[in-house]
Amino acid sequence: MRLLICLPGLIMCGKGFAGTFIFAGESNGVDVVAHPTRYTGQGGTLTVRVCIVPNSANAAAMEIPVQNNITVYNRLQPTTGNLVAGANTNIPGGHVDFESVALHELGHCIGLAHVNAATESGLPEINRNYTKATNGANNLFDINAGADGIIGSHDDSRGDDVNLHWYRKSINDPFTIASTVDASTYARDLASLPAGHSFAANADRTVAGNMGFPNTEAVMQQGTFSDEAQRSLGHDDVATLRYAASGKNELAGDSDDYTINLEYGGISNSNCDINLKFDNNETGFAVCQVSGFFLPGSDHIRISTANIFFNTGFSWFFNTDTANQAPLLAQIGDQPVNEGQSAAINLSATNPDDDTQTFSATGLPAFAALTDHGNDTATLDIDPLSGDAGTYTVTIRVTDDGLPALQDSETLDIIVSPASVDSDGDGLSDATEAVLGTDPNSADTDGDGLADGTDGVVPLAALPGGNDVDGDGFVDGEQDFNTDPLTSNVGDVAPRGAPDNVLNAGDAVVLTRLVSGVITADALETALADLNDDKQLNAADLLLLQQLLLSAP
Amino acid sequence: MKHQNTFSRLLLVPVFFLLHDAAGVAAGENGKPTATTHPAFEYSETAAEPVIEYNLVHHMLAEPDPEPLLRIYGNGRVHVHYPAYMTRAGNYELQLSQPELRTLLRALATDGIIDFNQAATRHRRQQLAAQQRTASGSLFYVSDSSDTVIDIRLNEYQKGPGSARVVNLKKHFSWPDLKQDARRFPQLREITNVNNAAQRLETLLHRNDLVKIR
Repeated sequence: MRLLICLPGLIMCGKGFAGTFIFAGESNGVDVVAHPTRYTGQGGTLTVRVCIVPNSANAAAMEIPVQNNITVYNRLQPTTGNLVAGANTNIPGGHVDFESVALHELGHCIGLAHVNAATESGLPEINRNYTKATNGANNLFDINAGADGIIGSHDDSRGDDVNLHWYRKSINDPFTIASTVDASTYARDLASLPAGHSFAANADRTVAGNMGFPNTEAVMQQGTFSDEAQRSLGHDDVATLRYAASGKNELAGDSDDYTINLEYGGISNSNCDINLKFDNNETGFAVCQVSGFFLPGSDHIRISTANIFFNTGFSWFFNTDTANQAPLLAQIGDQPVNEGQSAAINLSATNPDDDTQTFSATGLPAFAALTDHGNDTATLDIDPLSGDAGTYTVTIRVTDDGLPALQDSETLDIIVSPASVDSDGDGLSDATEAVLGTDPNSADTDGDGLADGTDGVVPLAALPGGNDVDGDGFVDGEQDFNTDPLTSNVGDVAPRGAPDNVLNAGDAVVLTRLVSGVITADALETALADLNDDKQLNAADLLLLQQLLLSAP
Repeated sequence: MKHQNTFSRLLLVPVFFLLHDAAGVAAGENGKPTATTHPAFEYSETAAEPVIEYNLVHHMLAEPDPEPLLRIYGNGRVHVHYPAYMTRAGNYELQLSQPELRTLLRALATDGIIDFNQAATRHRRQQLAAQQRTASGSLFYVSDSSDTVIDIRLNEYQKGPGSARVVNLKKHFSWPDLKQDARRFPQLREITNVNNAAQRLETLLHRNDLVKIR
């Protein structure tokens, strides 16, 4: 049941109990999920157009920060270490980062509320970092920081306060995110807390530090400092947006899911869903004003209008750097190698922002090593020994030093074959012959007098009758002439020196000239043109060739 | 500009001013009242403690400056402080005459700041917001509000002839998004009036005779 009447003693009931989703609270329901404009309950891509109001102060200066915000929300990449302050930012001293504040307000305007109690709770400043909740049946916030003394952490004791913060079931860690975010993995009701936890933890910076994530905070935590940048989302921000994107049934993977796509509409008032403007009549600092309505028959609310206002009285810093862009790792591919062989794979990556990049690898076997040369290149050395045969799945990753740090990666297989075995001595390993389809136990599968492989590795003495055109003492093979080891080349003497795997009139012409003595046959031609295998080239061979040509289809 | 004599200032002897309505007569010679209409008030004319403070607290800012934006002392000194992160960062001063200060106090009292009933007005606002929501079917949300904060300290205050005389009055007024609420709920006269009071104080921030002191 929705309580439409505010209880006495509550502060600003209409906006006092907004939860992790705006509009959630005692008035509208604690399970309310808010969606951006244009969501009707149908799945697909939800395009939300974000514009800067024409004639607003600082309109041109807002363009890059707003576009950066749009990139961040479309990317939906959770980050840690997203609080950067002082000399580590490009913000001049005594300035407030417009991009960071706009990122927060834009979050409100697509449905996110504060993750902490914030000022709308009416709580004193020190207690505003408790997790967002209603004040329960007793109309009083029951707040106790628990044994760890950290406000907003998992062991807070909250009496009858009703949690509004969606948390990860059985984990309750706002600095992680599930691969699937929906009602199967996240809950608002406290029944799914892990053992020993008493309330949903929120992604406050103190909580983060205590959990091993320094300089980290959800963007939707209320409050920003001057000289501080927070230009990327936290896990909690992303999880909440993805929860909403699981649609009205709050289950991911079906037809009512949507993908939010913020679209920059420029300095315009045409077809805009979210408008940004400097207007001192609307705010003393910065605000998002939203109206919305319930989707029929549900706890889901769709935003209908959204406006963000800023006050000109502050020393705003307008970032002129575009949002960090991801590095691009050059394609690597699977790497076959035999036991006892070594391979050095050169890796490289490019970066649109010219950031410093670092290579790393996971899954590397002991016989492989990655060396980062520090100049956007690296080498993957593979040196398997006997007994290392197998397939090893490895991920090579390149990470930049932007904020957030972005990366590109490729997962590939290192395929180590057993040490090479060449049973028939034709220069091709048995494994290779298996791939080629030739007989690993026959040096001349097609019987054309040319060994299947060789490359000069089979001594002439080891293959009686083998050809040795260049007289180097090693048998010529199909590879030497680029011919097919599975198709006989008997009679195929044209073009001279490079048989083309085709019997045609050209072969007859060449053979006629050989038989007539116009030209002299070399060893290859002697082998291929001696069709009757009588060790001579004569009219009988020419006759056999003509018969072959006539019988050819 | 009128002052009390040195002896009375040293002894912090207050002057008791009887306020007139908005169009009423100012205090007479040497700050003494010349009429006995109400509301009546008395404040110290010394520079030790502000009689009026005005501030805007922005909830999205995690480091609110502890010093208020505007302080007006009993001797008429107006001190304006802009935090380091504002475009006008620094401290400024100007001097009001006693009649100017009394006129200002009178106007603020007439605007209802001193007698503002926070709980009742809040309840009334909630009712109006609920009515608007029912009428339009639309919900309304505001993210990060800015509180208008006004403090008034008087030695004595009496609203009307039959009212109790309040000694050591310390009135604290705080309201989120006052200007926006005044527009959204024009029928809520208490809010409209206190917004007028806030605008009177806001005007002082933009006076041309403010002198930057550091």
